[in-house]
Amino acid sequence: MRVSYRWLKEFVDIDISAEELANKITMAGLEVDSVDKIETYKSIVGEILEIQEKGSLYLTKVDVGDSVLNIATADKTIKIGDKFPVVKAGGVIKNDVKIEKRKFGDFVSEGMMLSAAELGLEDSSSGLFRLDSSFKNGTNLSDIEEFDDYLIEIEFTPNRADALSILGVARDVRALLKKDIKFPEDSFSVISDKNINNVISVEIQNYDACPRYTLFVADVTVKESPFFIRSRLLKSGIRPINNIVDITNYVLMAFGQPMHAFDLNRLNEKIVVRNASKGEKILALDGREYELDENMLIIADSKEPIAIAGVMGGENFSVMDDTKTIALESAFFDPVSVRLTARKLKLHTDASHRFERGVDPNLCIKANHYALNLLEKYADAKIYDGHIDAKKDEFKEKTFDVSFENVNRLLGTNFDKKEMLEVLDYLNFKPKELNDNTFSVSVPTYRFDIEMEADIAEEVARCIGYDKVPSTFPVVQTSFKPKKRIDEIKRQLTKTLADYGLCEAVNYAFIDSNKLKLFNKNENEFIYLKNPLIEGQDVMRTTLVCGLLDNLTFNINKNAKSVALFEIGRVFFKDNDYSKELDKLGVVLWGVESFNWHNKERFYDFYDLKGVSEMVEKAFNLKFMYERSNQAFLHPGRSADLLLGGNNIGFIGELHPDIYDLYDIKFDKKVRVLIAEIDLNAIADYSSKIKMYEKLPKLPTVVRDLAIVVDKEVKASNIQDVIESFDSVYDVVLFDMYDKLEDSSIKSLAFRIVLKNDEKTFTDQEIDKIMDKIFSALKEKFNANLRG
Amino acid sequence: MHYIKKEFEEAIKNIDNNEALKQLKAQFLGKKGRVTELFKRISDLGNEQKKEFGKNINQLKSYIENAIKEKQTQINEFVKRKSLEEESIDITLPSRVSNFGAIHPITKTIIEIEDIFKSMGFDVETGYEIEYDKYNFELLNIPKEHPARDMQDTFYINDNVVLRTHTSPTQVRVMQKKNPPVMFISPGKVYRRDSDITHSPMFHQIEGLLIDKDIHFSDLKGVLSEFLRMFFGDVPVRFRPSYFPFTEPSAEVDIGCIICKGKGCRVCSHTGYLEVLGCGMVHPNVLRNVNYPKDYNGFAFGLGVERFAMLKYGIDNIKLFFENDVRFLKQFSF
Repeated sequence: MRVSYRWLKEFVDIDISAEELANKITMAGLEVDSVDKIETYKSIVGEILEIQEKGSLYLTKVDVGDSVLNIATADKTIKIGDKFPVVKAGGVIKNDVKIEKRKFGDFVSEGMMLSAAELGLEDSSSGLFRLDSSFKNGTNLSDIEEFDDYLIEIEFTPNRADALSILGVARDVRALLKKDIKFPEDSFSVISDKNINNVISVEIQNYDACPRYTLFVADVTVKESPFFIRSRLLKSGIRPINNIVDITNYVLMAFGQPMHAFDLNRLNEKIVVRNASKGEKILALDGREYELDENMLIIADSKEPIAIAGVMGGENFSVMDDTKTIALESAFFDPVSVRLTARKLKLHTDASHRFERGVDPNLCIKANHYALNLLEKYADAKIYDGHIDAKKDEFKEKTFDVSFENVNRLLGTNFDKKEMLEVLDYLNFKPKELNDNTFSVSVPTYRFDIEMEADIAEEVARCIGYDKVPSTFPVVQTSFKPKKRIDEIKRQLTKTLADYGLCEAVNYAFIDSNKLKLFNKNENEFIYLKNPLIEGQDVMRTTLVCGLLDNLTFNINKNAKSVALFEIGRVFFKDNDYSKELDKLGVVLWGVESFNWHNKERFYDFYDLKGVSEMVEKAFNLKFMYERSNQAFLHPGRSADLLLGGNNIGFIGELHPDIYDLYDIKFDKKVRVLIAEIDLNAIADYSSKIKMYEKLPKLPTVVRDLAIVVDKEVKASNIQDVIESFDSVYDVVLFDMYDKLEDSSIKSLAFRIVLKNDEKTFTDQEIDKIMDKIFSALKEKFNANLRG
Repeated sequence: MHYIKKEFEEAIKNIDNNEALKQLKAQFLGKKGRVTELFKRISDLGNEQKKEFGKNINQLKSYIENAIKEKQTQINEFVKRKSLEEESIDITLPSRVSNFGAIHPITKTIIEIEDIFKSMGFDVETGYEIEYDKYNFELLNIPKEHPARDMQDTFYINDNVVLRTHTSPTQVRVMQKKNPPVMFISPGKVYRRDSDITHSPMFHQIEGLLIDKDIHFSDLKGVLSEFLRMFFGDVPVRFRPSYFPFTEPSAEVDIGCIICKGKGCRVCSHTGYLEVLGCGMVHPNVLRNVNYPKDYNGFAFGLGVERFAMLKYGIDNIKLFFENDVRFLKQFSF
């Protein structure tokens, strides 16, 4: 909300600058976004002396005090004697637009008359900004009171409904500066020969949704509002319409009470406050038709809806240029009722914004009085005798007791009683000291946010100042809590993989369901968003791979030559109406693995990816089984499922060539996309933190190499397992593999075997014997032959 | 004899290799060497003279032997040095380690913040990213139709299940499980239906909660001021009244703008301050909702990790965090 500093000063004495004030109220909970001095662009008051019509233009002579200027304008509404802000040629207005002399035939326009938009008071204007006729020609606009002002933009928290007006802000300022509130004059006279009860009646059918409804009636003249009302509305971000509508808006801004003026002569008989019937329709002031339902409160006449209660009036019943008599509504509607209606209709207005947060139920009459005072002055109002005030109950102030000690204990302060009571008194809580430690408060009916002691503590603290609360350090006796294994694993893995040369990625958890279906055929597990932001983010991921492949595409499009990413994050599976969340590690490798001065260029392949899963094994002291995977999205010959304790806990492998296209990745025989995913919850379950050390061999070990030839299908890891099963074998390394032999059905493997003996040093014969045994075992199990 | 010594000294001066030194040695000490020749002349002398002469020759001989030995060492050193020099390589060539990875700046920031709070005795808890409406809102004192729900535009799975809009549900989850005192932080992803230059539909928060007997608002100020100074260095910290449905009193915490040092710039909207944290004393309704005894109270806080990371590393667009451009990520390998 934009608050005029000048207007605010009418409600409370302010003896500090706008900037100082902004800082003070910010530190008391009304957060100021900006303070801006009104810019007038060195414009001056000009009076129109002559008008000559030429096509769609009006060529005028304008008296600007020291001279008379020729100025062209397109505004049809100008009349001789009207005054407008004028900028002479050579001047500069909003957005650095330079005003220059312009020729229209032999008429040279020597300046420009400005609209409110050109002064920066609104986004767009339909015409020029008419000034008060009492202003002296040639006066600098900056010397005119309403332009000598600051606009304070405040961002209100939703609890502070009470502050959504000049009065509301003034009440906080009052407590901070310890001053008095000054209410504007609100007296008016009535005409005794006309009585409201002869022309209209009010019937409330739903007191829960409308606890109070007040109404006055007056004969009026519809015309343009005075300059000060128009300029203050513009400063508040409200476009002036006519004096009647402007005055209701003026009171809304001043007091925070939404008001509405009906054209009495367009109403049928009476006003009924009731719930709409299903399917009932209303053409609202915004020119749109709304279909209502039975949960929405409306204002109706005897026939049809004339307003959506607390939200917006009906177009056909509002004030128009020919309106002669108005019925002026000032009511209190239930916050939840207004909120539900406004939300359902997707119709958010200044009125609904305030009603749904809470408007003071005791403000109705006061607001009406102020409006009538203004209508009498600026709309020639003849106010009917009497008024309607429909309500069931009075609106009493809540009271409760508060302990000084509790307030100080909650805050950790030592505020003295007098200080507390004074602050609360300035905030209208009428504090009464009951005994040494207790006082009572009476909560003003505009404070919907105050319910208990803690709320009072905050009021005290925010007005005395949070900076007056000391900084202390609590001593908490907490018991030792062991770290959660999964958290440790995630952190350790992050570090390990970054050290291994991969970059960590973080992706959105919602992804494209069409892409997810490529990786998970079980759609029953999917969790869809009811209201996704965009189409391609409609389902919660069940795998990290989709996001990582999107990252790969993104990077390739940015001309990356090497992409090695991992992500540690949650995936989500449907579990009845709820979800099961699992932590996963996802990996994508693609492109150049190494390209440098000491090696040939090499591209990432399966065995680089396997390095990742082996690092996981090493890091957490586990052993995975690698089995050929039959996942449809993986290359059938170049992929593996990872098994741990007999359970499938993930996969590694090349992306199936069919899927490259769907990610706009070119398939290249040399440059493959490698993906992996590992379930970290399983790692946490199986890994143990503690690993006992293995004794070192007591005597020197012996190294022997063994080269064999086996069928191509024989798995190297099985051979290695057999060799390792011998007691004397301390370590085995596969150091050579060759499968381009003449006989393409076989491959040659070479192992370096480290032998140990804890009793005594091996003799050559003993070593030969062991090697023979190993070879015999391999021959028997794998039909291995020694390499010739 | 004196002349021989002179001659030797002249000769050895210019020798710089083993070959020449060998020749020199032969020339003076060899079978027909100059010194050896001198020895032959001993027999021509009388007894008195013999003794004196012999002593002098021996002195000369050992002088020459030592000098040659010394020269030998010098030459060896020289040869070794020369051969090492020949093996010299370009030390500015890059190493063989060519792939440097990196931890994502969001994770880096979370780790840094976690470690600060751990050092103060806070535990780390994790919550669920998909939550019941009840935990995300109702138990946190945000009933249906509360205007505060407007503060957070929500993704729905169904009428009762949402993507959590903040990490605060973890407060309720932990308090339902554990008796007080509790003292933890909880980092994680949160979701809001909002997307522009400064908003991402998914981002990260860190929640904090401390419940014990007799905890004060002043403790909240102490702990968070200390944390902010440990993370950002010595910056001014200010607490400002604000509103959250689940805390009372509530505060927003600002630090002096680290870009302009409080002078006012575009980043701090010319206020000199940057808003970095929301916090407050846990609302009595929330404590009642988890059936905590009346004599316990405490404070809660929440911070946006992206905001901290953006300020710390000078990142100006939130989108960069989620594009995962390797050129961006690689910058965080430190």
